[in-house]
Parts: sequence; C-alpha cells; structure tokens
Amino acid sequence: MQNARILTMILLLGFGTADTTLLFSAQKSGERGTPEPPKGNLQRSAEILYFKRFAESGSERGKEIYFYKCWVCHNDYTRAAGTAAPTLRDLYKRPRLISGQPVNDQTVAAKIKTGGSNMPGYQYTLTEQDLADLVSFLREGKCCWEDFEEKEPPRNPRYKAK
Amino acid sequence: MGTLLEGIAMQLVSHKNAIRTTVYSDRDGRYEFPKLEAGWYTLRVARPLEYKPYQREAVWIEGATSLDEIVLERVTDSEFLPPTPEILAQLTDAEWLYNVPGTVQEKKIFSDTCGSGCHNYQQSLRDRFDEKGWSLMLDRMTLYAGRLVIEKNRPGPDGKIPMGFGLTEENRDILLKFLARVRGPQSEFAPMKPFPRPRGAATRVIITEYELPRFDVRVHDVAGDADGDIWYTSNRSPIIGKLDPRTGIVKEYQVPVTPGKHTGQHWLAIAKDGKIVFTETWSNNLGVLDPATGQVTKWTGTGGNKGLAPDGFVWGTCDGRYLCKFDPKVSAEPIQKIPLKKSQNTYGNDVSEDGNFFVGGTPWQANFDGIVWADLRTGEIWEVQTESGHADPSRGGVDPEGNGWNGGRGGRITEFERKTHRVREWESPTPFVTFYEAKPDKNGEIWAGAQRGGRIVRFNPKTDRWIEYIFPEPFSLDWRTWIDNSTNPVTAWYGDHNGYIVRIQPLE
Repeated sequence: MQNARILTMILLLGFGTADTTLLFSAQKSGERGTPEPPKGNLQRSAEILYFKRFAESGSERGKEIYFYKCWVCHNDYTRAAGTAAPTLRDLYKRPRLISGQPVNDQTVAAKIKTGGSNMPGYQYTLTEQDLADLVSFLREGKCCWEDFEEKEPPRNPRYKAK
Repeated sequence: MGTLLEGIAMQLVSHKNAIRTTVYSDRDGRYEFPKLEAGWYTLRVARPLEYKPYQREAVWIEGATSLDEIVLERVTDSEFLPPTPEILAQLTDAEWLYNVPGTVQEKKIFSDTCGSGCHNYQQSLRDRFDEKGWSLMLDRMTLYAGRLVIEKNRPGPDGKIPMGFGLTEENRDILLKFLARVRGPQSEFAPMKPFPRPRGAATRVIITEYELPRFDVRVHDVAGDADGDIWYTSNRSPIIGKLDPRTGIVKEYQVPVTPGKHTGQHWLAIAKDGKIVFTETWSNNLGVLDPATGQVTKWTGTGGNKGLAPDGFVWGTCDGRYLCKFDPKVSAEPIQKIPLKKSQNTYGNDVSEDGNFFVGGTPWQANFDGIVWADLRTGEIWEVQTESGHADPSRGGVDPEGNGWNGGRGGRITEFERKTHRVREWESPTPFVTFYEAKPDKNGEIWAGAQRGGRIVRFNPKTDRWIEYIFPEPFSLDWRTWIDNSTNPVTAWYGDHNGYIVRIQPLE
C-alpha cells in the first residue's frame, strides 16, 4: 500500500480583512486550559446522510429518519390539502392499524417495510436498525414534527460560541 | 519519501467556538492557515477519500506554529474506491451520479428533475425501491408543488395534473426505468472514482464554516450588513438569524407564525436603514424585521424571490405576466405592473446595486426558457430565449456593466448582454451539477454555488477561466451567494441547506 505525505507548516498569513485580523485572547502561555475536542464524526455528511446528528440510535435517531422519510406525506399540512396518508400522531394509542391488525412494533415495522397502495415499501431502503429506531420514535409518542420541532428546531450541540 | 500531495483539505476545528477553518495543500504539500485565535484545535483532513482518515484531537495553536509531517495511507491501490459507508458519505452527489450505471441521457433527466428541487441526489440514490415504489415517489415529487410538496399542482386546461420541473411523460418513463434499474431492490454500488482534487488556483483559498444553534433550519438566503454581520433566513422554521463572524455567535429573531401555514422564510435583503426585508415561502408573506427592536411586520400576498432596490422598493414578477413593484412599508400589493410577453413568471428577481436594472430567469416554462431583463428607469423590457432551451435559469444578479447573470438548474450559467440583448450560456466543467443562482462581483467575475457538486465556481467571462473551490463537505446546497465586495479579493458567503454558514476567501 502506498503512502503519501503532506509537509505541514502553520504560518501566519496576513489578510487585511476585518474579520481575519488577529483575535488573540489575553491567554498567556501555560494557561492553556483543557482541550475539549468536538465529539462525533467531524465529517458532517457522515452524520447527516446516515441520520446520526441527533443520536447514534434510538428514538432520537428515529425522529430524524421520520423527518426525512415519512413527514413529507404524513403531515398535517398536506393532509389538510387532501393527501390520504394518515397522521402518525398517537399511533400506539390506537386499537388497530387501518389494516385491522393490532398496533405493535412488529405490525408497524411490517407496514413500513411493505408499504401500501399509495406508499412505497421501505424494506430495501431502511436497515433493521433504521426500522427499530423509527418504530421506537413512533412508539414513544414523540411524533409529529409540526407539533414540536418545526417551531422549536432541535438544538445543535456543536454550536459552542458564547 | 512519498508523494507530496496537492489539494488535500486540512482543517482546524476550534474547541472554543467550533468554527472550522480549511485550507488546501499546494503542489509541494504545504499548507498555511490564516491567523487564528490562540487555543486548542482539532486538526483533521476533510474528505480524505482515497486516504485513510487523519485526525489529531488536540493541537495548541498560538502564533506561528509548526506541526509534524503527516503521512497519509491510501485506502486502496486502485483508482476506484470501495463503496463503504465512510467513503460514500464523502462523495458529492455529482460523483454519485457520475458513478452509477446508466446513460448520460438518463442521468441528465435525473439531474434536471431531481436536481431542480430542494434535496440532494443522495436522498434519492441512497434509497432502493421496486418499480411501483419509485413510481409512487416520482408522483409525489413531481405532481405536488414546492419544496414541501404539500399541495397538488393545479390541473392544466386538459384537466390533467401537470408534472413539475418541465418533466414530460416520455422523460418520466426513462427516469422511472433508470431508478428502478440502478436503485432497484437488489442493486449494489460498484467501486467509485472520485473527481479530481483541487489544483493550482483552486487550492489558494480559505474556507470557514460556522455552526448554527439549531438543526434543520434549512438556511436559504444570506446577506451581510454594515457591521460585518451575516443575516440568514431559515426555510423551515420561524427564525431569522444574525451571525457575528468574528466570534461565531448567532442571535436569533423570532418571526410570528401564520396559523395553518408551515413556517419558514426564503429571500432576504438588507435595506439602507438596516432593516431586514424578507419573504416567507409557505405563507406567502412579505416581511420587514427591525433589528433594533426585533419587531416584524408582515404583509400577506407575495412571497418567493424578490429584488430590493436602493430606494427601498421591492421588485419581482407577479400575477402571472407582470414585472411588479412593491412598497414593503405599505403592503404586499403591487404599486406598479409592467406587462411581460413571453415569461409567465421569473423564479429569480434581482435588481442592480444602482437600482437601474432588473434580471430574472424563467425555468420550467415549456415555451420559454429564458431571461427577463429590464431597465427600470425607462420600463424597457427584454425577454430572450436561451439557445439550448434547457438552462432553466433561476436566480442571479447584475454585473457592474448592467449585464444580467443567472444560474440555471440545467447546469448552465447564463448572461444577458446589455449592449447586444443576446443571451449566452456556459456549461459547468463538472458534470451533473446544477446552478440555482449566479452572482457577479465588483470585478465582473461570476460566483455560483455548483449545487450537488460540493463546490462553488468562480467564472471569469473575460478569460473563460473557471476556478472551482471545493468544499470540505460534499454539500453545496447554496440558494444564495452573497459577495462581500469590500475585501480584496472579494469574499463569498453562503448558507448551506444542511445547516451551517460558509465563507469563501480566495487568496488571489
């Protein structure tokens, strides 16, 4: 396996623009404090494209999957405009699915996998982990986006400026 | 002794404020960061692609600091990279589309259709459905209107629901078969070849990324004010933000919610009195925010893109076939209407800095793929078709000579030449990118976010030279580039759809 190298050197490069002029703090050498490296994958795309900004797994990750994969049809606005997709709010408080089956993790996951006459089946798109996280989001009653996150978007833990 | 690498993206992430500063190694493998605040940083290679990830968690930077030599190890000796989750996440949409099997025709139809809207290609290409599933997806995405696809398109004269993005029945069939074949239930990815890394002038740039306080605000427009702060609209939340680039601190302003309508803004511009003039997309409002008080005034009746003239009036097409003038202090009702002959609407609506000229692009209109340019002093209007008929020109701006420039979703940049009244087109050197906008700077160079290509292009029409500045993320969902002409060279800004703000500082 070939290796390649980068010669590295950090230099001070004058710019002359207002916001790149030096912002050295009054910190003196020896008062460096403790490093606080950012957590998680610093390649943003790896978190965004695998729905891992909110959490690695569980209902918080399920919320992100729901937003990308489900919300577009299962939201109040489009339902008011005539889209037939039912709301998934309080899904687990209902006695049965529209199909007549009882509401539980197995039947909800099966419905997501197989779809219906107006819904694509996600069995080839979502992994078992994706499905488990999505189902836990629905089971824990955190749906739906327009009730909470739309008006109060989730906080970004990477934002640290003070 | 190995090979000295050019175009490697070296990034420092501040532990204090999470600001990310990225520079690129030159032909000798050297890189230089600008002056940074003394402190702890994480040093990493962004998008290492054919090399294994490199990251040092804690590096103390204070003044001139030299770091050890870095040796990067290749992932594979092949020029084709294994399609692992880690590598797939580093590839741009355009690289994905370049690498999946299919004809150029199929891919261009995909790009024109699925790249005309408001998501990345990967949101589609990461999915796998059978043909029925893809057909349902296409129906949802093309028969419903706007970014949220909430309401069905209005029926045409024949009673049929028209498909969006100019998609024809014939092309829908090609697109459906393409998706069902390359992203069918059993489809797999072959090893992928990335596009070339930056070279030469494209490495002489500093890219700075700023975190925002919240996820999923879907940044749309950015603009800088007289204090050097950057304002942004969020397309999916009731928040307008102001970023202080010196500290990374963001101040949020709440926009009152219109009952029954999805929240979110679109266009933003800063008036001479410092007030923020904006539109709301989903509730169709024209608004004014007073930064001093946080008070918002909204007028219902017009949304989308607009152009702010220096006299405080707002311009944009309205009522189907008119170029309209609005007074945002009074209402969203037009106070002047100039009839158009060919264009039924312009997507972009931009006014020159001196207020003399207007330019807008008309995408997706079957009988007119073209530019509307107006001399606002005389009311003279030119509506000129593109040569290709497939530029889908959208947002843009006016250069110092009064020429109108627009970015086209068909992967082209267009110019309306003021003196000759001709429209010229340029195709992107990188395949399968789309443009939503093109912004001229004070020198007449054109900046355009190459959407889905993870880059911004800088095009010099006098020399026909393109410089492509490649970002440390594979994203470039740039709906508005704002050029800071007060710096030399100029500085470009944009807010990424994925939720962060980017500054591009060329070194030449």
